[in-house]
Amino acid sequence: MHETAVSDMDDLRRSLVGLLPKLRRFAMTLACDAADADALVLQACERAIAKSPMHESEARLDEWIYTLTRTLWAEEARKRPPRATQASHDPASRERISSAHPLHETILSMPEGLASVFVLVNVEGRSYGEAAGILGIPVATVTARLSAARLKMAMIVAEEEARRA
Amino acid sequence: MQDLRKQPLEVRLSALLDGEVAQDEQQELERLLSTNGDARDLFERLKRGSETGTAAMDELVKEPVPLALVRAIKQAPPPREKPGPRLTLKSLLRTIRIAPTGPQALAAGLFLFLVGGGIGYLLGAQATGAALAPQALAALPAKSWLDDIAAYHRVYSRQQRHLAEVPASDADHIVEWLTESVGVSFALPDLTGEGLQFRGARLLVAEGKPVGELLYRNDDDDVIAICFMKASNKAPGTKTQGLDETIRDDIGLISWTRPNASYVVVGPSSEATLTQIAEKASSLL
Repeated sequence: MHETAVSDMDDLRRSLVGLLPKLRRFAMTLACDAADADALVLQACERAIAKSPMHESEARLDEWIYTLTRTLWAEEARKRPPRATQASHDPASRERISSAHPLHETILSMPEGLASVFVLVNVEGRSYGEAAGILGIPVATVTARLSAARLKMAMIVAEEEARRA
Repeated sequence: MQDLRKQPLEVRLSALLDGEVAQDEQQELERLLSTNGDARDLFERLKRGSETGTAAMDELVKEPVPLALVRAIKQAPPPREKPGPRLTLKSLLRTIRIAPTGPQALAAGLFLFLVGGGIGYLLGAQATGAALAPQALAALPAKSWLDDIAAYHRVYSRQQRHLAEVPASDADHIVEWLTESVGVSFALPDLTGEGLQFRGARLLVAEGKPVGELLYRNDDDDVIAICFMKASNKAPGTKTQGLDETIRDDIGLISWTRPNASYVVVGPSSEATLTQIAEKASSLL
């Protein structure tokens, strides 16, 4: 019984490590700062491990850990409202967001909530319902934010092309 | 499916891209796209934004995950078992519904004192002449042999030119030499299927006993090693045990035991395939 529990815990840790690249990307859409995103991911994984007996094995681990991450970020945002709602979306205030792609900063600095919906639905292929569940918002909000994010990105690309021309 | 007819056109067309509109609304929107240039232009902008954003965000998952983050997750404390209700004499008496009188309680206390004192005396008398149980001796070295292996690995894994004492080209000699020196017979495991190339061997000392170390490199040039030592004569009959994962800072160790020997696969704690390597090695050694 105990060995099974230890083995399950090792499996959970391995699964969480496997999810890290995508989980960090999702956390970056919330925190808009690489260091804050990593701290958030660690906190979420620690909480997932501590609460693992509460996780139903049939439920998808990725949806559970994403939801935990969003919940933790919301808790943090309540403690630190000025940074979470304003400063973190100001490019000048952020640290070390990847520069591997010129659009990363632009995408992550979109109005709050747009980048998270975009990543969940457009990039990871989740349904509107799944994204709404993870983000704790109505499906109609997901629909509206996704449309706004797509148009915003199209505008950014058009502006970039016009600037180069 | 949502009914989006009252929503702005860009919202409806965006949902059309994801197949998140009802069938009749989908047909309606497709008709509109075939006849209305502005709607087509808007749809193309949505598609362009979608493709550009996806390409950019896909790059983000290719970035290396910080090693410290991986280690912290692997070492995160497991959930605490929920403590049961605190047992007090009062609660116990309430549960079993006994309400002793004063003299009864005094007599019970005296009885318990005499029984407890007698047991304590007998145990004390036995302990003076008794040796430690073999199981206790067997348990003691396990921790320190892994500590020694982790310390060796931290030093040797950084050696580029002098990684091994005997190179992989002397495979026959390695088997003969380590079998004789360590007292454990083995076959060199071929782990090329796991992406590991054999680079040679070393003889180490852990817990004052010889340890054989077989050294491999993976595609990332990380060193992963298999170590083995003979089981203690003081702990005969040690049972075969399954894989056990231990982390010492940046070093991961997957150990297992057999009746005559202890084994460990050692490598970077961030290496996700250490357990699979250990499973394969244990079947080949």
